Amino acid sequence: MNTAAHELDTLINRDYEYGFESDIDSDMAPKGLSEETIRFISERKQEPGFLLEWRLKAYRHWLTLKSPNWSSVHYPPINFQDIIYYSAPKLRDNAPKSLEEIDPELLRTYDKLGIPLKEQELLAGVAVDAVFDSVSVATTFKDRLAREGIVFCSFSEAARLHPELVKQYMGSVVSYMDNFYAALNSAVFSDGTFCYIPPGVKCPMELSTYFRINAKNSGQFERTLIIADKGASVSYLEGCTAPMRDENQLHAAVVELIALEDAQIRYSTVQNWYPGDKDGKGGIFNFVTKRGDCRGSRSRISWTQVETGSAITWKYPSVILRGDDSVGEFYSVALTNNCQQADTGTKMLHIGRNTRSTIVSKGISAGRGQNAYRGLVKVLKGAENARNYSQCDSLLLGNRCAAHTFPYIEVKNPTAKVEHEATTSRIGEDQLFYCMQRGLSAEDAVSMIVNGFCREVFKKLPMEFAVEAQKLLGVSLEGSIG
Amino acid sequence: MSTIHSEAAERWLKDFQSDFSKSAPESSWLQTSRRQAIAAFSTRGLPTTRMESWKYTSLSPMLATGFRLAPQVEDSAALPYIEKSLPANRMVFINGRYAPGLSNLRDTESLILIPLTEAISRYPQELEQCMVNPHLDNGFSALNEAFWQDGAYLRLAPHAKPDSPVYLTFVTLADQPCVTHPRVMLFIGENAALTLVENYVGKGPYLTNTQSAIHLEKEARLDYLRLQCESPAAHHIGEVSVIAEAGSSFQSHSIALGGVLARVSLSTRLNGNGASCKLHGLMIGHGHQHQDEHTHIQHAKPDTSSEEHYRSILDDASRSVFCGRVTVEEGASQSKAQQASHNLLLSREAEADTLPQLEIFNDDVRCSHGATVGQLDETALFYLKSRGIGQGEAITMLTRAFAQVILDSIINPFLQEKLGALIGDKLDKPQDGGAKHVFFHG
Repeated sequence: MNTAAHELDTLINRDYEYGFESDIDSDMAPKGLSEETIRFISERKQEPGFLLEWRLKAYRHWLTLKSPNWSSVHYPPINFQDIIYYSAPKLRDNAPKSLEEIDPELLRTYDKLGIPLKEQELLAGVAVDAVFDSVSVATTFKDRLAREGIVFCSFSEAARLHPELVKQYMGSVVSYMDNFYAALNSAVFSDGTFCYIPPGVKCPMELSTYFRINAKNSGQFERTLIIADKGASVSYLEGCTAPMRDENQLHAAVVELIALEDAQIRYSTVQNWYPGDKDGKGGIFNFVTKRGDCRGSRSRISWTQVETGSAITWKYPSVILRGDDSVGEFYSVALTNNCQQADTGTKMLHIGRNTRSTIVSKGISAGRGQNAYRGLVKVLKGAENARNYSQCDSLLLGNRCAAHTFPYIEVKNPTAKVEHEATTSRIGEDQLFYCMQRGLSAEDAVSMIVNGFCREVFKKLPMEFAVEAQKLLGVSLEGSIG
Repeated sequence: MSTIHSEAAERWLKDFQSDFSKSAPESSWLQTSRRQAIAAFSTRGLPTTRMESWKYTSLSPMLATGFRLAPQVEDSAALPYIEKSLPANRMVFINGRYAPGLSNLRDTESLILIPLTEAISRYPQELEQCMVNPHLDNGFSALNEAFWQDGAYLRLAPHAKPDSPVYLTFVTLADQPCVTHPRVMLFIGENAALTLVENYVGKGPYLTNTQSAIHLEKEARLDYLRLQCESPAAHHIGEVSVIAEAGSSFQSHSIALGGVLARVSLSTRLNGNGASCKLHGLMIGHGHQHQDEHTHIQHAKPDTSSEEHYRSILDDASRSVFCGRVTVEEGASQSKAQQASHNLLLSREAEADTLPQLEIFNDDVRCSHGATVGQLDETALFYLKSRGIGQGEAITMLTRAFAQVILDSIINPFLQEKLGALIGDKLDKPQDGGAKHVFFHG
């Protein structure tokens, strides 16, 4: 046990692997938030006028809002005037036309992160829209996608090239008045991903993007908009790492998904941002608004998330089941270790007839981690035969962690069938004993049991993410038992 | 607080203060406690739907009502609400005042059952300690503490186990909208056991704002049946707080049948090793009834266990809210908690909101909860119909069976049978509301 404990110690004490900072000239907005900052951002991005108007409306609305305090996460108040709202790697004259034109320093950064763009192009068959701080630097596979009529580009590019699509769909799922952080994002969003799949097109590859927060003190405000037109389908992957930092960083993204008739969107996230050190110093605040709208009949939106990073994760990927026979799914693994806090869950809003939703949430708390599932299932009057099944399980490792479950169930239609189940427990001594008796170390046994606990969710991830997620979970958990 | 809430709070406070008259001079600590409660109410005000725990229960419709403190009425007026054949241990309150002519007190060494005002003059120090609540965190408990007129005091000596149940009946008779603030204090001694029934009935438009405090000593046992059969025009706000010491067990049945708006919050603190509780609840709604049951179970010590099972049956445009929170504190290892909430919707207009919540701060626990909302099982209905039972009767059968699960856990067979009949009546003839349901004594 002693050697095992020693091994554990080394594993726990090891530093965040991805903690480095690239030294690249940045073109930054001055610190602080004002109408000038917003005009600055909009001008830098050469945005059409309607976007600036929209940003300013959002900003004026944001000024009337108060920071929400109902969640079970605790953090010091954020000084919104102490954040740099725009930071772009300095461009040489114009945007790069190929990978060769990209700042070599930047490419090395991606290499360290394990995203070799060039190789990926050939080997992985994954189109990567890499976001480095606020500007999308390179987008691959564009040609292939363009042949199918698929628009997959950075948000700013979409605003310039497809303003009609942006105007039509942006803010139609998450209004700028939605909540405090959504309003903030709407006012200052820097960049993000835009994706439009035309009618009847099945996207030929997994779309993916890597977010990375770099320049010091620059809160990152992504905005992602994915539209699957009638009969289209797409699978989108999002993964993140961030450099080490002492000051807390704010990440307030907005993700909007729109599925029209018979369309399908699968959105998967592996989030491994810097969680802060053992004493809870530093780390990312991940306050995200994610929502999908099953606008058409028989549409389907599925969220899968593996949340192992961030000092605080606070998000509720939701689905509005507006179309008849539409389906919403939420599969989540949230792991908190050391001083991490997570308050996450989903909202399933049943509006159309025969709508169905499934919620599977697995929370794992270790160390002094705080993990809360908070979810809403709401069945409105017109949602004949709506069906929901929710399962929220929590696993506790160690006697200083905490796990909470706060489901809200509101049913206004008698034909609806809503079921919710939740359990909280620790790993059974008998399970551990069984594994160890067969020669597994305590560490391996726990890792195996936890992976089994999360299997239902991992099964829903695309292949390459599932592998990554399992490894991530193993690494994040090491040292939490002994 | 919204303007309508603050205006109502101001008006209520002013009216209650002018209506309030003491039957006898009060000791200084009591006066201080009332003054502090008034101050607390002035700052807290009335709860609004912006508060998380009142999200689903809006007081707005009742705030327009100009409630006054309930006036004294003749005992005889309450007779239709009280059974003639009276059992031994019984206390009746009419409009918040003790009715000696209808009550039958006990004042023996093993069981003391007396009005609270009398208990205060008899045991001033003891009651000063436990009656003054320094944490008046909501407006209604502050109002109760400021304006209570009387209530029940019960003390059961260690090892005493009386055979027959104790009944506390609160009758409110209102021609004009009025309010009562009854209080109940129960102390169950070490290894003692008791069955207690708290019953609320009445006529007309009124508000009952009641507070019950229950203390179970080591190894004590209490079966607590709370029966809310208020008049169809009544509002009912009830708070019950229980402290259960080591090895004690608390079992409750909260049955909500009456009232237009009723809310009961029951908090149980399992305060000693091995303490346990079983909470059951049944809400039945018709018309525009709004039934709200909030529970909070705190596992404060190791080896504590809790079970919770609430059901609601909702017809017409009625609505039920169930919020059950279970907290397992850091030191409470080896705790077990189980929670279930099942809701039956019988009409298109009905609504059920359910929030089972777990807050766990210890890893050595086994906790689970489950919740369902739906209508009657079609296959079960079909089965009955295929055997020649009419649609209506089949629905009644299945609905009763759904309610029966809660009643089955009542230990006292007499109470179980009477309550079964009462609930059958309510399900069959909802229009009679709670007013018809006289309480059942022997």
